[in-house]
Amino acid sequence: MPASVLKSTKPPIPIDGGDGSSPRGDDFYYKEHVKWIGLWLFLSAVIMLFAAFTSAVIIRRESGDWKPIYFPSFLLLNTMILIISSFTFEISKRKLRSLQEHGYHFWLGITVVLGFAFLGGQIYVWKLMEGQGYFLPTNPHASFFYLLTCLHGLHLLGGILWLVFLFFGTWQIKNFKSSLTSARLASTYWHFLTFLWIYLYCLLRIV
Amino acid sequence: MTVDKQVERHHKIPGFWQHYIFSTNHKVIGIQYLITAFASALIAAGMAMLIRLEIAWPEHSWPILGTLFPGAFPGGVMRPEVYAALFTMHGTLMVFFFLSAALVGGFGNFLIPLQIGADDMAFPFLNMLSYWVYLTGLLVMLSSFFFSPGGPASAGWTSYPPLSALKTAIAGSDWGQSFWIVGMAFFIISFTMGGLNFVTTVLSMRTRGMHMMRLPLTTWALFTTAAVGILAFPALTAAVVMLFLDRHFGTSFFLPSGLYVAGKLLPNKGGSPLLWQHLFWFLGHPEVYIVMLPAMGFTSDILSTFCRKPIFGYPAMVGSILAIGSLSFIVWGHHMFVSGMNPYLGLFFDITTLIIAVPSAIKTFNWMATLWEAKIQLRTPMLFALAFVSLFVTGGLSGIFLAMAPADIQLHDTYFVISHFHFIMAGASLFGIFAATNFWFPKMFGRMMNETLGKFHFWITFITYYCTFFPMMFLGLHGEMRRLYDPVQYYTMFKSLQPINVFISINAFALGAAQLVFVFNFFWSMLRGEKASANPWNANGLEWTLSSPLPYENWEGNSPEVQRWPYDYSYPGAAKDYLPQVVPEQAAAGNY
Amino acid sequence: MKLLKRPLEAWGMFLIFALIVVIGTASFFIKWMPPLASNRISIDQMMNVLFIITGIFFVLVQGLTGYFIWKYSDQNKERSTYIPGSYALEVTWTLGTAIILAVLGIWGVKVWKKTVIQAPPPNALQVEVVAQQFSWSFLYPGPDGVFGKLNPKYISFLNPLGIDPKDSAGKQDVWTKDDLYLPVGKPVVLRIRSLDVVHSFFVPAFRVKQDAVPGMTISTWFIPEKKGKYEIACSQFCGRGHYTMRGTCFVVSNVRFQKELAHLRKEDEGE
Ligand code: HEM
Ligand SMILES: [Cu+2]
Ligand SMILES: [Cu+2]
Repeated sequence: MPASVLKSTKPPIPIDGGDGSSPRGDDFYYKEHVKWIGLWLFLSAVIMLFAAFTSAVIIRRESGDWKPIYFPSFLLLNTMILIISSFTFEISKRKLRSLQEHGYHFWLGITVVLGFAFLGGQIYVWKLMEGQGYFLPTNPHASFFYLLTCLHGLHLLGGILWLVFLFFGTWQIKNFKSSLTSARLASTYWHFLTFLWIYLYCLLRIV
Repeated sequence: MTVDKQVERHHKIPGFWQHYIFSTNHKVIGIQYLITAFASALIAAGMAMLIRLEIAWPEHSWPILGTLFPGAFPGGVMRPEVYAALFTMHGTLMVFFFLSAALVGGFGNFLIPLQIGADDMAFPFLNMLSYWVYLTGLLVMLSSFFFSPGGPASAGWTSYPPLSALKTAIAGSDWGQSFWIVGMAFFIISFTMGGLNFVTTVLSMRTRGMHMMRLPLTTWALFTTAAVGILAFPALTAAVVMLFLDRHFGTSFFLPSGLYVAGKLLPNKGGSPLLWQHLFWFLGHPEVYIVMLPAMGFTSDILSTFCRKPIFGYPAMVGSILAIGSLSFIVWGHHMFVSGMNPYLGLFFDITTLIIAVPSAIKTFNWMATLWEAKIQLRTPMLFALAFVSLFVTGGLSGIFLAMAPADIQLHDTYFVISHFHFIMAGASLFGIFAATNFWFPKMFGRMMNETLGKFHFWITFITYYCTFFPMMFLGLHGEMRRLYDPVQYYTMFKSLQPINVFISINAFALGAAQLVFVFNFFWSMLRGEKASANPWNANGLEWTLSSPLPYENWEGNSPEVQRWPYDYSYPGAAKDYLPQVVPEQAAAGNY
Repeated sequence: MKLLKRPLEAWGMFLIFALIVVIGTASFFIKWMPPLASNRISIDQMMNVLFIITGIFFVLVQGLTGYFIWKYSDQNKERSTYIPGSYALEVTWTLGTAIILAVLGIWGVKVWKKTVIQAPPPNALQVEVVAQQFSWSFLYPGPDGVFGKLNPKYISFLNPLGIDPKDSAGKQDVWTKDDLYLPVGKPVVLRIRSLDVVHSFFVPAFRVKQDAVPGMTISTWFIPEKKGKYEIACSQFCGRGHYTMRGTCFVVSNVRFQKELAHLRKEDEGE
């Protein structure tokens, strides 16, 4: 594997192929480019979705019956789990870059396990909340809490499936470049969800 | 090390199922979308006929209807709940499942890869999925007529809560509204998948030499529409999720305290009905442009082709498409001037709405200037495109009244609004679809649509369209409200207007009947029409360099190289009056 | 004669566009809006100017389009002229429409401020308007001028508005169903609310429309200026009986208005 290949993992210029057309041809960069655009468009739709919910939270809390609820401290721990999973994903990507197949799979596996742990943790938090007498319809803050955690969880479940797919799909790193692209796409989504959760946590905490 | 292996798809035409049913080919998907959308349009138009029947002859008994639908028309008289279900489903099917699907799913799929010189969409599998999800959504919507206790959703296509949230408020909110929510969820998912595909495809799959500023305006419009859809639909997603929770899980997102419905005090607390309206119109207004923009694009291309003249002011046209697309996100409040939102917000939306009128006016003037000094050929697509301009102007000018908040006090929720949006959104887009179908039909099926039938369809449609919807403005100015099951039984002030309603309804029936001519022409020409040459209209776009009907693989590996913009009609010094985009500069004088 | 040689379609389009212009313009000379019966004349003035401005554009654009279609369908011409655009024209019509719309916008803002945002005069009569499926109720305060509290908890057959029996301010309040009495020439503030779904209070002759949203009390004010009987419409779809939800507004002299109130109060005590 020539070193130059390893370095040039970033797609060259997007959108414009020099003469004004798109970067053309059936080459590798072109295919990667398409996937990145697709991913970011999807993420912008998700951003808009949560922006809509944010505005709903802001409008809704103006009404008189908004009573803040308090989250079990376990939620903070759970948040840490998700953040750590982002780091483990980074480690796994690093292993992939240095062609350590084994380490790559190991850390990817850890990420998947942490993802599941986070989801389990969220369900545990729901149970704790129910134990405190907060159900979905109890008050608007609780409603938003359940709604937003559930939607985030669904997106994360999608992310986990993607990781599982990646795990088995690149079991043997036959094609280094495309494996790396897949890993980078997946990790972008994964980090996005981590940031999204931190944002939601702050949103639910502050209001 | 290996480079990704290109899958050899050329020369391999799949079997029947993969070719026609579960196809990932953008052309097949486009046609599937188009035909499905036409089917839902016919159903929705049938509903409009029943609506008009009821308004013109309120609570009249029609024995045939009584025997056909004894449940909905006991004794031949329509029940008020049925009327509500009809206008709700009419609006929903027309706006989402017909116009959006036909324009974006149908023509978007069919045309974008052809016009930019790509082999297919960026994500063909996603594309196929998009169609099947759309079809599922449509079936869910329609099935509410048969399987939903209480009938289909009945709170209007805008579904304002609490009416749409409380089962006891209206029969259609029992189960029908849940069907509606699920159907819309499918539709939104399908549209998002399509939109992702379109934007990615246009950004990254243009052929050599195809600068963004050489794209046909059709592609520009479809591209913008897709982007607007991706960003606007999530608001409706959020809204329907919350509505669903309010309906089934006792939350109070939209339900305020102290609701007293059907003799019962409800336990809900603190929700905001206006929140729904904001979220709905955050999508709802861009949605209007989602269906307008593609039709504007078709009109531009068709006008230019049949004027044998470049579109006037191409950069201004592109600019106004982008301006309309982005401004459409900050005007939603003009649907809420009298809703009780803060009146200072009304001022803001008043101004932004007037601003968005500027790019719309620019487009109109450019279309008119395109006609100027042309040698016009009045073929069927051209007639529809010209009628589009007329409807757009009528709708646009009535829109200025609605944009002015004080005038909207009088006009909101009256027939003036119905008239306005049937011109600017429904009518203009409908005529855009007719123009485009007639225009690109040879590419789809390799045959021409019949001109005589096409023109017959056009004259009847154009005349009756005006006769149906223009008088509605007068009803609205007088104050007659929309969504009235019986305008005269209780209100004496509308009695004198009833002859106008009868006139409107008679025209509406003629309008509806004329569409059967189109349907007949469509299928008849598909099978029997005159065989089309590769470029029957002598047009410049890339799609016209391919054979009619199109080969299964667009370019079969030899993607074209684009040399010029698509509007070189009557180019000075060229031998012919058109210069396809692939003709190089030097060859212009010689071969063309 | 050669000049008039056009394909049939060109004549057809010309005819239709001409009809659109002529009939469209002519029909707007008919007064479609019911005669104004309130102080909101600024809305009517604005609408009239809007009719003129949009009318001019309507005639100009539709007429010119029809004329162009006819004129440039001339098939004797050899070819179209290659005109890709004109910077000067683009700037002209962009600025032109922008200026006209800006003027309209400023005017709209002014009228909106005058009709909707401006606070009502302090001596205004207050009336509480309560919408429910499918009727209107109107509540007038007692001589103290203060409304008693309304609470849906107390809704019953005899008390459909839920007037709080414990609130002394409500003791002398009187209410009517479907009939609204207003004294002529006196400013009135309607405090609009709803018990169930969204309705909308609409009296075309007053140029007044305001949604009734459950959970909110929304005020709007105006001065009825002509005696008479006006129909109150519900203009927001509110369910099965939406088309039946009509009220009546009687604009009467002040003396008559006081009499009505006194009469209602007496009836109330009689119970
Ligand atoms: C076949 C010709 C059509 C006729 C005769 C027709 C007639 C009507 C009428 C009379 C109403 C008012 C119902 C009421 O207020 O009670 C209505 C509502 C509506 N129409 Fe159409 N229409 C036609 C085509 C279309 C098309 C092509 C669209 C596409 C956008 C459309 C979209 C709507 C919408 C969104 C509503 C509002 C529904 C609601 O109030 O919730 N219509 N139509
Ligand atoms: Cu709008
Ligand atoms: Cu109503």
